Amino acid sequence: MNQTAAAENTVMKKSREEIMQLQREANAKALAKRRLEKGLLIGCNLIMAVFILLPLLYAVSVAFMPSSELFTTEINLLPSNPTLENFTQALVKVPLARFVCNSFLVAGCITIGQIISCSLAAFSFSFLDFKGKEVIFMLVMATMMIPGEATIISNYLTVSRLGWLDSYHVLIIPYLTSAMGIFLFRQFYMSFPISLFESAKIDGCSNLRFIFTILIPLTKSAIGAMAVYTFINAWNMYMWPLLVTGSNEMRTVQIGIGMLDSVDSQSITLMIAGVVMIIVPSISIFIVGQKQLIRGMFSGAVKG
Amino acid sequence: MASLALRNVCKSYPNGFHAVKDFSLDIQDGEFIIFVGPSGCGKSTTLRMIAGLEDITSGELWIDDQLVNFLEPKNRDLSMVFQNYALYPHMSVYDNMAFSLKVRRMDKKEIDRRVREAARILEIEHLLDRKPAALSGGQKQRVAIGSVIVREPKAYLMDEPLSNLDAKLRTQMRVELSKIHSRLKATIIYVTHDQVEAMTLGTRIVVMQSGVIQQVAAPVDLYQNPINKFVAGFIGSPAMNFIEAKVEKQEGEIFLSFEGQQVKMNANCSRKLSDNGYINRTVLLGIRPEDLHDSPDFEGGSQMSGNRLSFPVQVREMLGAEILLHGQLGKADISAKLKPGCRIQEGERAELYIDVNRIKLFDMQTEANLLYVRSQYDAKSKIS
Repeated sequence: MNQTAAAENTVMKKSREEIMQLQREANAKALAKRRLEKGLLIGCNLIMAVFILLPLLYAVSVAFMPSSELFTTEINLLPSNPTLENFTQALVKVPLARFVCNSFLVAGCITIGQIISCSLAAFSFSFLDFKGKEVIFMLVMATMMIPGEATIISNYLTVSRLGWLDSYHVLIIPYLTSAMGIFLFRQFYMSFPISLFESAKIDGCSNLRFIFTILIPLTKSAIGAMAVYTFINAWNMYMWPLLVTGSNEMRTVQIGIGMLDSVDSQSITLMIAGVVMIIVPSISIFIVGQKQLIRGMFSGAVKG
Repeated sequence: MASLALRNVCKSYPNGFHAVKDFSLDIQDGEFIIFVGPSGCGKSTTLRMIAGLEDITSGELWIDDQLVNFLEPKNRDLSMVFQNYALYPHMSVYDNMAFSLKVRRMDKKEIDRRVREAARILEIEHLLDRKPAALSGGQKQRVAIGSVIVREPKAYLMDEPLSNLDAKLRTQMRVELSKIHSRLKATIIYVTHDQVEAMTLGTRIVVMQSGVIQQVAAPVDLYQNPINKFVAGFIGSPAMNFIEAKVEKQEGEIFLSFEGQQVKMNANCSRKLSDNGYINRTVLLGIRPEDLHDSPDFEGGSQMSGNRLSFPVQVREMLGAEILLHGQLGKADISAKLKPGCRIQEGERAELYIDVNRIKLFDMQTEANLLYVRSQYDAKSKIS
């Protein structure tokens, strides 16, 4: 009896070991497969990233090239004699530092202004009840359908009558609010629990106090998204600043780049160096705020 | 604390929907009054009108001797607990509780004293530094109650405050609320659709249906003396059984006949039925599941032991302390709540004794309780 039991045990032991072995092999196979898939995925992503970023990377490379290296018959992806000459020339030829400061000031003021005005407007559209709320909101939304170019002449005439031409406020004031911003904030506020507003109201909180002590701290991601979106848009403005400013003191950076393109002595490397310098702020703001931007843009789209 | 009075309060919306119709009620100082009714009956709308969150379409709302119809919510000196707690997620428990006092620019020392006192009453002193996200449902509810206690308002409004809690916690918080009420002697207006909360917490209950008050009464009165079929059916779990029955007079005695069965009426029922001309007419017989017994050993059971209700048992539910039998008699669903010793099984026919002294009779058209006894509250509040 004992012998039989021992034999059975051995069989069981063996089979258990075999099972373990099989499991180990299966695990190793699965692991190898997963690693291969991951590797392939990363490889494909890298290739795509290089492909998409190539113009940008090439621009950075060109910015460091002497002009003579650019116009050759060979492929010059990287500068053989890297130089900072293009950057210094760009800074000397036009007052690029001043333009950058102007753009920062204008884009900064527009961003702050839009956040304040759009959040206040969106607050009234989502929390307050008043007659014609829906109609007014529709009207605001309808303004998004009118292209900026259609109103640019009448806007120019208005600001020129006001005597605002070639000043900071002509660059800032017309852009202090936007329908897109109101829409973005409203969508975000629609998912905000109304009972918090009602509770605050019963607690004796005024609307403004509610906005500043409760609503704004709780909607940071919407503000972040709005800030990134508005800043980049304002930074990239071209047509309006070109039209309403004339002096070097008031020009913004996008026009400054245009000024580097001289008909008489066109230098691609010089222009590219200027472009590289001015895209740094917008790219860095995007990198810093991309999570906020994506979270903010998609909030309200799906019920959480 | 304060007394409140609602006089012919109505609420209608631009689309023509009437949420609350002609609501009149006097709420005494220190009362724990419950608005109860099914979803959409207008109980929350009434509470929100009292709070000032909804406009009153017509009628008057008085707090003490002040007409407050057009007063802003913050000037009514009321505080409200919301169903979803309405705690500010970015503030600590302490700041949440202190918020309403800070808004009112109260002295910091006084704020601190009140917050700590409320935290002590609610046993949440150890949670004061936490954010709401780090609290359990019950703790959040305590904080929400704490934030309204610190204000020491004229009245507390509570909109289904326990409905987000699990059953065990709800029972626990119900006891807590009862304790808080007796401790603070506060006027509390409490909205719920849970009749257990209504029956256990309220000093008076307002039963509403389709925006109209059905009955205002103390819990026990509401249970024993419902004004109509709706109230009788709404209060009590399982709900009252309703059977259509014909009133017949045989040899000077009055019987109710239904589905080949007869129930002999007691003296009170007989008098009411014959005085009001119900002989040979159909009425609705209402029997609470707990008034059906498997033996005649209940008060008055031996005298009326001939009164039985016979129905086939379709489902038998053993709840530990009691057994529920469910069956059908004609068109009517029948439930009976019996002692755990009951041996009647599914598929068998139950022969249960009816406690005739506790039955209710309702008019078929008006659904009014024919045995209703007018109470002290009827004169004070308008009953529709």
